Amino acid sequence: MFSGTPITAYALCNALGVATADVLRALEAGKSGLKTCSLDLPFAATTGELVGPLDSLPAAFAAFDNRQTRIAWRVLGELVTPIARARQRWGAERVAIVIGTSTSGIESTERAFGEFKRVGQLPAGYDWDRQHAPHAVLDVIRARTGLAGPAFVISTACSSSGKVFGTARRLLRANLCDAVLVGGVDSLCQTTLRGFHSLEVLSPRACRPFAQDRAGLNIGEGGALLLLEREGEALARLLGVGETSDGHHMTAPRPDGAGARAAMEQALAQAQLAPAQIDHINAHGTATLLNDAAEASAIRALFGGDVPVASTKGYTGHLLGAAGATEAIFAVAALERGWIPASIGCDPVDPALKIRVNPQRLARRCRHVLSNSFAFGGSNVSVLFGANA
Amino acid sequence: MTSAYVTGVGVWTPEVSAEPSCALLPSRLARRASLLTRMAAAVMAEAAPAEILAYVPTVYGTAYGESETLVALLEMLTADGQYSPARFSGSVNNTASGTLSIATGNRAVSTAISAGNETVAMGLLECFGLLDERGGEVLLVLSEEAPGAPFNRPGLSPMATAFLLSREKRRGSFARLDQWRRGSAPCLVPPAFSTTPVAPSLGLVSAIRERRAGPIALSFSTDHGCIIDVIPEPA
Repeated sequence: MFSGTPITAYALCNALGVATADVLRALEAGKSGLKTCSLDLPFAATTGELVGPLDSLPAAFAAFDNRQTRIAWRVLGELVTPIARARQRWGAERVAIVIGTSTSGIESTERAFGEFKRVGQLPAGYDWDRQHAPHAVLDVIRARTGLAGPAFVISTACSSSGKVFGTARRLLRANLCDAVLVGGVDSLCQTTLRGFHSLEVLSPRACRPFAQDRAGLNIGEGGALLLLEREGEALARLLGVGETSDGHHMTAPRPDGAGARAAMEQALAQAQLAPAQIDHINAHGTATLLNDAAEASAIRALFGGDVPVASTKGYTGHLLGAAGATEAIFAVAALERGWIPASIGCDPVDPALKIRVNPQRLARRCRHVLSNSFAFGGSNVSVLFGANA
Repeated sequence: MTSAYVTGVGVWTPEVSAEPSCALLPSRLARRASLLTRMAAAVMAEAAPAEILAYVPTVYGTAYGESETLVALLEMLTADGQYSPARFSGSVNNTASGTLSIATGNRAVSTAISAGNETVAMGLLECFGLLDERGGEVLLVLSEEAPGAPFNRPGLSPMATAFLLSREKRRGSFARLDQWRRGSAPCLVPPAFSTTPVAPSLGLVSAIRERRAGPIALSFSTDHGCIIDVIPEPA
């Protein structure tokens, strides 16, 4: 059997905590980070806002300073040692960077555009390439880490940082690098909150994935980074990645979940595993009526109704471009720690879904865990992780 | 392995035609489609026949994404604060990928990447990875639009290119691309596109069409940029 790519380090921050240990402690305790949104909005919203103040970037990086790069900086701070070790081991040019983001620096562009409308010019220091563009976060990561391998952003909305694992696997397989820093970083902003509100899928209260009376999603923010290496001391292993397109509708999934199912099947095939060998699924589970129904349909068709499914959107909100990498770390934590997180907000579970969603944490020694992410445009990704052998 | 055969290319700039051809898009999708998505539709239809577009894995590269749509949303934000749901759902960087997968019924892997001035180079790298993983063909679509005031700048103009790549040599292959690497090579970009991040792909299209052998720059950097060799196939 394919032994997989070692995941040698990871870190994340989001509404559950400022550091990885805090986030995973809250996840284990079943504590939600969702709160009333502090942004100025003309409607009620609940969001997963980052805990505590975000430090500004050092003076040398002032041109790149915005909420998204500050989040990236915070997460990088926890990975200084493993990244330096990988750089030394493989050489800076052999370590790639692949980051998912959907919002990139839109939050700072919103403020800059507001000023442009008020005074007729953009604020001094605003720079489209360094504040707004997706590659700004790459420039910051490269400069801070000294990594010099291939570097790019994947921006496929809510599947962005799930798809980074597919790209990383390919870059390693084709011998285009020896290690990849993957992850996702997104920040709260007016555009995503007002946009999802306009689509009538934003819940004013804490979201309730897979619940009978689920009423929409909450947006969150945060960052998650993982280091994948050709060889190394593994915390867990990347075994397979399935990527498909629905080819159906820009904002609605195929009702039968066929695209999602095909992604999960591809991930299983790459890992040479059968559905019965999957111990847990960290679902996309946004808590919209359509997503949860389509995803449950795909899971039921492929796995039956027994595999424990959890959505962690009830803890962090939907991190959009950072959701895939964040939930990948939750999947890895389940493998490492012997428990499946409670799917908070699911009780009572919608009986029409006919899948097993646990309102309580479940002690379970997992060998194989799937993590799903689906997006606008019908972009589906399913990532399969295995316990370290 | 950083090698592939080019069996189709497409290019659109305002000099090619007044408007990109949207023949690929059914009218309900064409009505809503941004310039970025319409340019992508035009170049991919030129680069590959419909039967291939229905199954080929696709890589979309754009440094700035749906920037006209973003500016339209910012106008809404500063006007009455109400967003148009259609505009919002069309603001994501994979709008072209989603729209065109719907238009062509394509359910294969599709991705959207951004890497600033290295978007062409990194897009090719993602294609090499897909060819290594899956064999067959892959379609690379590169496009950029000008965002509009106040974010416009000289040299940033709308354009798109597409490349149908395959691991194996096919009948009608124009050229082989080989040895993606860091180095320096000529980057011939017309002044109208001198700051358009994906514009180095115009030079790649020219070299392939004109069957010119030699290294071609994939990014604007003159020093330590990404380059690739174009090796023409006999006509």
